[in-house]
Amino acid sequence: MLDTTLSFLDFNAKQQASFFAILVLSERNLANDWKMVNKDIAKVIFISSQQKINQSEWDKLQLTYPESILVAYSKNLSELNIAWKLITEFDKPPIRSKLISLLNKITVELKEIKEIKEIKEIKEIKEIKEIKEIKEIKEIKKVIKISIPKNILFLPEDYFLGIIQNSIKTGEIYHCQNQSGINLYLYPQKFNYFCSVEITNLKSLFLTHPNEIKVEKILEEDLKKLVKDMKAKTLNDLCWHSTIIASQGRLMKNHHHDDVVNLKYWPDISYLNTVKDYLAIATFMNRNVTSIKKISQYTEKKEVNVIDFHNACQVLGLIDQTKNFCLNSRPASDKLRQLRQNVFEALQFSTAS
Amino acid sequence: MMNSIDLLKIIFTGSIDAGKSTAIHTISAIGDINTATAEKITSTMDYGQLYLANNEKIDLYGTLGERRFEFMSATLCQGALGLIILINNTHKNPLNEVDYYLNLNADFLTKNPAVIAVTHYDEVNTPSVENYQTYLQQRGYTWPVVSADARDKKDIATLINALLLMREYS
Repeated sequence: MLDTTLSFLDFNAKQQASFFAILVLSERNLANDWKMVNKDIAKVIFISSQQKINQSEWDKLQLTYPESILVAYSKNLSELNIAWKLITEFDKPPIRSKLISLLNKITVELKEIKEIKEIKEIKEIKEIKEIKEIKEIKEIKKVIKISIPKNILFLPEDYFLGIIQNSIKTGEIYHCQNQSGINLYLYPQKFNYFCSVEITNLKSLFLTHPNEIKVEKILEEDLKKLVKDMKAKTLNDLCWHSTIIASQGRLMKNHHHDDVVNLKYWPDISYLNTVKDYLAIATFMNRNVTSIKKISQYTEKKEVNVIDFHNACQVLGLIDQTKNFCLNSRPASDKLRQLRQNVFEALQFSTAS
Repeated sequence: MMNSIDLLKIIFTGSIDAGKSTAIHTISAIGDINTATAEKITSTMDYGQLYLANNEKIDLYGTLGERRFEFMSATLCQGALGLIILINNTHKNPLNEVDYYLNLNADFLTKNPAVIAVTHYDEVNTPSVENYQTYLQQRGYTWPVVSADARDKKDIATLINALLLMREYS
């Protein structure tokens, strides 16, 4: 909304009354209504002077009211270098047409000022947003820097998974702390871990190189004191999620696309719900003994997902590796496939599953 | 054989208080289905429906928990898409329960799939899911075993989807 407020400076009562009377008479022809306010908050200030106003005095006034448009209201103003003036005989009311013209021009000016201000504000917001985005991109890059696989193979020892596996192997209790200050306790004797952060929020930890993680061996009695208010969670969850996050479609060392595998046991149902392809991959791998490559081809699921699933199942010891193919599955009828799609939809699953 | 579809129905079976009524109720499109329960034990049959986009529906049946009604199982399973066996892990011998239901439905399972869902796992986690898997494997069964919460729509949906995928990949 346009701020159309005006005030007077050095006006006597008669001047004010006559000015106000002309203003009221001019209302019909004005581009907007004008409201009289205190000069400290007025957008437009009419300055009256019986004497000749000199330039330096005017400049001083401008400095006093930097946010306002100053209008010289006097008889002789020709020598002054000022934007707004209304030549008026002292003690006489302003000429109506001149006042209308002046106020409407000021309205246009105020609109322009407002637009410029808004553009400036938008620009500033945009700039802030851009700075924020650049900052975010930098942060993402920082994360990517951690997560970009340097190796074409997935080596657990390059990730937090390596620490978990080491703890399980040695039976040592670890207190782990990453650079973000997340504390996680590994308790291999009970196959548990303790962490106050939800597993879904541990992505950055799972992608961090073990060298960047502070690992401290602790005694069981100390652990019990440290985690007395924390809930024990199964290490299986930690192994599964850390593998899925860090694996990134890369096979582990000593594994190949042509490895003939079978899922001997199903993973926990909660793991199957994390990626929509996993249920189909699990079902197929459980019923067939075949290569990783073939699993992807037959199920029409992304090889990246097949490999991540395979890796996580390997880490949990759910995979049997053999040399004998045994393909039990035959192509399903269209009717059966359609039925499954319909059921998926009815159960709010994606049809693309 | 498993690729043919005679009737669209899925059977929920399993031990007493394993959550058959709850599981059906969790995903059924129709309201509370006709069950008479006394102290959480169903004494009449559970029934629910799952409506599909093409105006088809899948009937969901829950068998009676008491063994005196076991003779009805074979009739109920006729033409079903598969069997979801729910085992209450707080039962005094849950592994025997799995054995019982697999034997009871042995004929049906020669041509049709089953999924075994261990319920109340958050209350008692022994035997573990791994114990079940080993137990079944020793008996030559390859049916998937998972822990599930009968109140969780996502879990029940996963069991049904797994059952259908097993038909698809049969």
